Amino acid sequence: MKRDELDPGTSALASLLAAMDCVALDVQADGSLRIVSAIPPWLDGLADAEPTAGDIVALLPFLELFLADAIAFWADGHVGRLQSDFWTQTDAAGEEIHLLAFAALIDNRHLIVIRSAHDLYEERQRWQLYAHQTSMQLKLIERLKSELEDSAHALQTANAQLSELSIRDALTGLFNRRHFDQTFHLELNRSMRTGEPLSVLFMDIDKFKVLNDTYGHSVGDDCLRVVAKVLGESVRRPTDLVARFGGEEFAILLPATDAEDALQRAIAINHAVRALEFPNQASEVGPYVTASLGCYTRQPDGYRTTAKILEAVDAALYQAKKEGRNRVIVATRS
Amino acid sequence: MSIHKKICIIGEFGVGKTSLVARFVRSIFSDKYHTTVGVKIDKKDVVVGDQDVTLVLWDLAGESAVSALKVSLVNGASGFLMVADGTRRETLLATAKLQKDVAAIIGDAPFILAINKADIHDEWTVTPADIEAFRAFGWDVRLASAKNGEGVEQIFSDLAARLIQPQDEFA
Repeated sequence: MKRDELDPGTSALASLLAAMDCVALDVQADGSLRIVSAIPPWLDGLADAEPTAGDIVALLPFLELFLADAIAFWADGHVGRLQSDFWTQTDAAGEEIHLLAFAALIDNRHLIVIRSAHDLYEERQRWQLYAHQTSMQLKLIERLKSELEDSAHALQTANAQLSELSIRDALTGLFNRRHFDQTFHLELNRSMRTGEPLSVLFMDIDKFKVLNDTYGHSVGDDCLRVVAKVLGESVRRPTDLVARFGGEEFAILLPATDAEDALQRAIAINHAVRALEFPNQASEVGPYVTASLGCYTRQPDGYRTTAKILEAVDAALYQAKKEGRNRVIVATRS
Repeated sequence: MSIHKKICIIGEFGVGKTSLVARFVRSIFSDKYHTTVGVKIDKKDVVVGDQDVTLVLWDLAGESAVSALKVSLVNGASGFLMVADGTRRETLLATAKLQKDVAAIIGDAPFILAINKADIHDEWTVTPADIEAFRAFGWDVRLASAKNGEGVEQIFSDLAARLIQPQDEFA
């Protein structure tokens, strides 16, 4: 149908759409298409023809899908309008055009309006690119953040392991002398501040050199490990601490433990070591490994330095050895 | 008389779908990146045997942060070309799902997988083993370069041939 055959209302609509660089199609009940607007420049291929629906779809391939969507939209009884996504194609002159289609039911007429949308397209294109780049950057940031967290966690674990290793004796797994000294210093300060007793035990494996000479250093190391296990099991409170001082010497720190309790703990350790029945046949003390212990408990008016306390407990240990070993001696000065 | 065949070009964002079509249709390549919004439709006349065929190429926008791939646009396609970027292995892996999504709409249609950017093979993260893995599934995997044209003409030509000739000729 030619434009001069249109009714006045449709003709006015056609003029409006032409001014807006649109083409309007009236979808007939039989599926044919009737152009009800001027032909915009970008659709020159239709200018002088009475196009069939096939002709129109050949020029605007996207309509093939959109027409089906629009018919389904109307069939479902929807009101309002259906809008297509952008599509890009070339016009008769080979230039790129960006188009949008709308379907609407107006006065019982099924209309499809197609408009060129160059500016909108470019704006959407910029936005889409920006959104994609931002999304990529966010993904990169997330990945780097995750890697950083993994590294930090690994570093933290390594530091914790290193820290633990630095305060442990490699052979027995007990704390080492350095850690004992640091803890002892803190506990002494606490004892002086609170007035609570602080007990320290020194222990020496009797005739350990004889054991080494008799059975070899490997057996000597085994002995140190089993005795260390006995000592580790002898402490019950989190604040108690067992350390290997070096060689066959061990120290046990017992905060908030009075003299009587400390003595009982020392005696229990002495019995437990003997109960191991670890052979030391050449020892003049007996056929099995034994231990001598010195015991010191600081009272509120006792020594105020770690050196003095260690000297006192060492003297008690020396006394135990001097008196024949395999016994506990309590330091006389508290 | 020419027959029309709709071919869809699909793949992840930025793999070079539009560049491959531009190379095939207009023999041009631009280094400047233009993201496709919606769908871009081009036509190209080819001859397969003694048959004139107009390929209607629907270049679908890749999935982006703001726009999902509209697989429904493949409706009515006779075949499709999937595109991956050799320098981004994840775009190749994504084609497995794309192929399923498309097949769910248009069925067992002919397709070719083109791995683009063959001109910068040194920068590829896609490995020969990856390609072999896809070929082991019976996929026709080709290397292509929109930049220098490598493989492009042949890919479209072979795909067009499959659209109008019985499939068993290619078995």
